[in-house]
Amino acid sequence: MKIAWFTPYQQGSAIAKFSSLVVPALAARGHSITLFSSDRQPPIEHRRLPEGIELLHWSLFETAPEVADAYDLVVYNIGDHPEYHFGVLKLIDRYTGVCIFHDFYLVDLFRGWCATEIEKPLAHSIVASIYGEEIAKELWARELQPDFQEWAASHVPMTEWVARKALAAVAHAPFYKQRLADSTAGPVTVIPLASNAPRNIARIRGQNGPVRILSVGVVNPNKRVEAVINAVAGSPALRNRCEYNIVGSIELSYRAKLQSLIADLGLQDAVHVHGEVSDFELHWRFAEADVLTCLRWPALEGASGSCIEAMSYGKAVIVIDTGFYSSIPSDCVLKINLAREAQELAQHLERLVVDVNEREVLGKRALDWARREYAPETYAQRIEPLLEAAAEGKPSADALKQIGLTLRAMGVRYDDPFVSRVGSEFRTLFCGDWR
Amino acid sequence: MRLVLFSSYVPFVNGGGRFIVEWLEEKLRERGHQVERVYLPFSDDPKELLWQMTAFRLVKIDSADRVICFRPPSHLLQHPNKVLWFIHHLRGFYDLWNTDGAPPHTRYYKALRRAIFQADRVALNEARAVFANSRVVQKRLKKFNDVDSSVLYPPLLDPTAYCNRGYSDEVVYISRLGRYKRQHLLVEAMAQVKTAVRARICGAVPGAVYTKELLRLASKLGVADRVSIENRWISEEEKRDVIGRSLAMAYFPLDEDSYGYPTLEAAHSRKPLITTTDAGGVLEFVTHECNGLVCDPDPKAVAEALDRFYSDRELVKTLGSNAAQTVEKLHINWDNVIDSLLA
Amino acid sequence: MRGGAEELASNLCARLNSTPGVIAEVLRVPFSWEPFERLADEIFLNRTLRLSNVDKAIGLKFPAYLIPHENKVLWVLHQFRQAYDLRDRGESNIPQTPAGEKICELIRRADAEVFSASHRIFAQSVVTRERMKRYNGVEAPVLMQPMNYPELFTNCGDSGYLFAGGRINPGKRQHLLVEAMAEIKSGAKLIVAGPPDTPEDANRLQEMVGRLKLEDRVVLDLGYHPLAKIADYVNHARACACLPVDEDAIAYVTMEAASASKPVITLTDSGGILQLVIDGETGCVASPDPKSIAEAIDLLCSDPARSAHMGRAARRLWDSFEVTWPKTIEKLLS
Repeated sequence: MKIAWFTPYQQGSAIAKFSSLVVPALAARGHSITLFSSDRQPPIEHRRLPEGIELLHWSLFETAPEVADAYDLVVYNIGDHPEYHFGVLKLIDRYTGVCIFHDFYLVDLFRGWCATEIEKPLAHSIVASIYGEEIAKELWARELQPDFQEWAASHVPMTEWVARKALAAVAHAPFYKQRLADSTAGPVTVIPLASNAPRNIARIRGQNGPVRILSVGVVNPNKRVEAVINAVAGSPALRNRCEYNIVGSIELSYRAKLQSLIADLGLQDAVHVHGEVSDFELHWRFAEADVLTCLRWPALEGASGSCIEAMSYGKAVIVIDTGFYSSIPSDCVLKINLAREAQELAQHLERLVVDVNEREVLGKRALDWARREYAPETYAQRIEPLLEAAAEGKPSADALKQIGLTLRAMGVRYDDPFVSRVGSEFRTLFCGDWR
Repeated sequence: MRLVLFSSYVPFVNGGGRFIVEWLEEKLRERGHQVERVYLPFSDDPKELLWQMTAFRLVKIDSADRVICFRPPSHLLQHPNKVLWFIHHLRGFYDLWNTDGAPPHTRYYKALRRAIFQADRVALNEARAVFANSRVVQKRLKKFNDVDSSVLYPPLLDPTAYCNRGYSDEVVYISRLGRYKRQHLLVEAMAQVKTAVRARICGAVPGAVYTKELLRLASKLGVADRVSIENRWISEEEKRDVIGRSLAMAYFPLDEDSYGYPTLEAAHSRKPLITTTDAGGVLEFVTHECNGLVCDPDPKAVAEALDRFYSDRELVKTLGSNAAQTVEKLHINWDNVIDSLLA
Repeated sequence: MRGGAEELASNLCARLNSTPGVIAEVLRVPFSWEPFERLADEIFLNRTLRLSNVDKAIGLKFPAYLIPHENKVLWVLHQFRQAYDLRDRGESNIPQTPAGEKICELIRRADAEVFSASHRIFAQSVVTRERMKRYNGVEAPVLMQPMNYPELFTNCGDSGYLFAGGRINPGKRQHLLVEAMAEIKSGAKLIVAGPPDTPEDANRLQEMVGRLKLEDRVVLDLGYHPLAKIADYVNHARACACLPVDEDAIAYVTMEAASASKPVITLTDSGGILQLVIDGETGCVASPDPKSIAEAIDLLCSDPARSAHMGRAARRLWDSFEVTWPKTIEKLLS
């Protein structure tokens, strides 16, 4: 198939990295793929291109519509970052495609879109049409409150907003598959997120050095680094034997807050906030680490790229038992319960700091699992049937869209039984058994 | 019985697809049935197919005890007593899929094709009975849709109006003019005949391109004095007269999917047919040296057939008479049609 | 199903085909309005049909007039009245429930859209025009449907009878006319000629004539008659009667009478006919009861001079409407 693959392709984007791994693997299966950067503006610095793959900009679909006709299928990578996925939102209504949902929480994407592209009343009615009038009102009322993210993740994640436009959908963990299935007319599959497992991991660890705890990823309260800092502070064993490295971009104000906490707890020697680091340094940090803490609350991503990466490095990983993390086998990572976070975190850290064997066993299991589950080749193999099914369903999707436009022009509400009756007649006729 | 004849059409386009419906309507009324004819417009633009088909699917004809459906997508109608008299599929996706006229073979169109096949399967299997107007169509229904159908040949509206008015020296080709009808083959054959046989080509076609080609060809081959070529509409009365006084009828469309009304017009007038091995459905009627002559589709072979008829009037009479009997043998009559459709 | 709209479609088609440079076909779309939810399907389906190879489309009736075409003219006899005035009168199959209201809203909206998308809109009668204005906010000029053979209808003198032509069924109310004949004071005679819709319709009239002993003054000539015979009846009458209930258009019967310069008796609730029958000028408008009708009959049939005078006025009024096929087609194709 000829595929137009829409993805952010800026240097810093994790999804760009994902695309750079999966697209060549798909191409190796015989497909002809062109990358389209979905970044609002063409990236000045973009990730290196895989061999033989061309990179174009999403705006070409707008300026030269005949370009779109050349492709059998469009694939859109969906994430929460408005700048990264601007192009997708501009095109998806006119060109439906397979959507890969890297995040199920799309509230920031939605709000970014609303800020410049649509008027408030329309934005309100979009939210209301999915979640009801009450929730829609609450969304704008709660916007600036501290617990907004947590509330929004469970009440109004906006996954459906994009899912409704999708020809087919991919989830990276089972926990949000149903949400997608309920809104997407086409097929939905769960595929574990692809990552690349480094082939040979050098053991940088010295004999008598500190036990290194590492957390990676954009540093914000969602990542619960403070809980780790407090766990280290509260345990003499950890205080004396650990080094906790916090890697990832961090806002100045939050950095100041963390530094202040570290100072108050007297942990300046043990806990270090590094900010964003280069690819090379990141690799080194992963290699030297003994324990990875990948704590998220609430889990906003489909799957955790840094957790998969940690497992791919064969490390012992501690996670909160929620979202994507719940779907990892329980003998590959240590799962803690949020309600007992402080307690269980401290217990696991203390044990891992002392027990080298457990760290190695856990790490090996994690590595074996990651190598199988998250290899790009595996992802390509798993997504292929969905792409085929989506391409197969495109003429029907186009026709249904046309029918939907007619019904809307007639003034029929989306929840009128007539809509489902027409849809059902259509499917009985063209799709065999209605799913 | 209260009957509705339901078909699709393109406004102002007339052809076999309309005659079969309108003649049946007349014959049903003659037999005392209450009949109504419903045509709904349909455009075969591939981008508009699926949702137009959905519209046809939603049509409700509740005033009829039975509905007979003809041209697609009328066969999608939902009715408890639906009978199909199938004339042709959406040919670009079926038997013409591998020809120049078909939509491009992209992923999209292949998927569209499968969706159409799926819908046709549903609709065909719902019918109380499926009839095909020829064995060609019957085979296609089986091959593409795995549906069994019975062949039901369409008769002329008024067969008795055709009769033999003697055999002249002129072989006629009375049909719409077109490259796929291959009137040019007759012109080319006339350049190779050895007898004094003549030819008359008459029929209507919008646009004059093919006619000009025929005229130029006749002139170039030096046969313009023996071949008359007329692009005009011919009245029923004149047609009967021309055929009635002809020596024989030439009719060799390329791979036609039924025998065609000209075949019947000739047979009822007791004129044998000259046709070719690749004329498709015409060969369901014409058997070589039984009720006509079947030649290779080249000018020399056709010329030989023309000469043979010119020289052997007894043969012409015999074959012509057999042709009239073939109509009986194949049960090409309205009683059979109506009994079958209303069974 | 042949009704007034069907005949109009056929007549219009025939006239268009005789117009140089024009060929026309009639597209009849099946319409099923029961159960009322079905109306949504009908709107959807008509909006989804595609017309190709057509330069201009003339929409006559809901829902067929919803079929899209970029060059569409509407010549509306009436909208789907069950969603409008008939519903207000409680005579609709669409119930007064939220579901029913939703369907009405769909119909109103579909009408609004087709009215604004159409190149031109004409109403076939004043009644229709008023209704379209009232319910859909649309201003549409009136374009009446012409008679087919106006030249057949001409004043050939006065043989003294009252003539009632046209189809015979309860809606046309010939029975009221017959009943009224039992109450007349003058020596008027009535001839009723036309095809009954059903045998019962014929029986009703025959039975009434017998029961009221009107054989001496009422002649029933029931059945299909060639137009020439009807014209003969009209042309020699003193006056004509046409009294249907609530018909939008001016019936052919009335046009024929006016063409032949005959005054017409009609009723207050007959509908569009009242455009042509002005009480006291071109005919009589009675109340729908036998006594009032009898008075009208006496008035028109007892004084030949007055009838002739009113008949001439009827003819003048009818001529002023300029309802001819050439003019009508010119307007439709403009």
